[in-house]
Amino acid sequence: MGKEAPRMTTQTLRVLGAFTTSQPEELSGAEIAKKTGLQSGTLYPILARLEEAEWLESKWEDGDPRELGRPRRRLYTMTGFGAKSARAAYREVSEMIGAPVWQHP
Amino acid sequence: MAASVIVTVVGVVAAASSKILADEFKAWRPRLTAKLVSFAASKLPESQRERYREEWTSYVGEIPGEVGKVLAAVGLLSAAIKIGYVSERGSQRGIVASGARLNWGRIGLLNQLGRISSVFSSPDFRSKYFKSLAAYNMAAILLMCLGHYARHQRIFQDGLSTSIVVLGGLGIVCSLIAYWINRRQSRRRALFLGT
Repeated sequence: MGKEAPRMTTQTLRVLGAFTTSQPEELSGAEIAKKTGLQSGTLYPILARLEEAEWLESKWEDGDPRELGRPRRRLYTMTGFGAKSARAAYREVSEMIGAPVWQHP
Repeated sequence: MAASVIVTVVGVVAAASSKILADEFKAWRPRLTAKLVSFAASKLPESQRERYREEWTSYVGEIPGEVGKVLAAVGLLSAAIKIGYVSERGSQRGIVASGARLNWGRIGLLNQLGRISSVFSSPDFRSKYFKSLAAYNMAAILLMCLGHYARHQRIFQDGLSTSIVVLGGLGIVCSLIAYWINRRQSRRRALFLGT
């Protein structure tokens, strides 16, 4: 399930963290930008990569723009596969940087 | 006295002008951001344009402040180039490995510049670039020596020696830069896994 794993960078980890530590589970691009502090030029390629790898999925929010009085938002959610992969990625990073320097081989 | 009057008048005019400019900016901002978002979306593959145009219009609308909205819209241009670039090639690593064959046909200048800068900003490409430079320098030295020997039956002469030293030095520097880039990239990969 899922395609090639996305490139892990600090910014990608921040985006994943926004999903694993937030309630509600559906977030718009602007909400993710606010949580992570990332600019649009960095954020959207990451979201596109995560969506392509099936770690995230997105859908339009319910409601007609005319009734809402604004354009409808695209809401992102983490998939089950994405949650599992994100936890594995965090675990590996923690293991790598958690041990003190003098314990490294 | 005259100077203080002039300063006061200039101050009042400046204050009034700044208010007018601010109001004008507020009036023009929605149109400007809409144009920027459309322009950014036009850089994407056709299948994604409509979705991202709508999504980014909504995104810009949620950003607070007039200047913030414009800056966010400008940032989307960079996002569009990266998304379109990665979508078309499958992966950025694939682009570097293929030597960054660039499609000059239907792609605009800005998109092309974005692709060129993405290629040059890749550590793999920079490393290969400096390695190539080092190799070319060494090859140039060898050819110069051979050519000079073929002509004069000797290798070392003042001007030639200087050229050899300069080229050799450049070659060594390029090799060191390539080595440093590779080492840094290896450390990053070890830290962030899977890259």
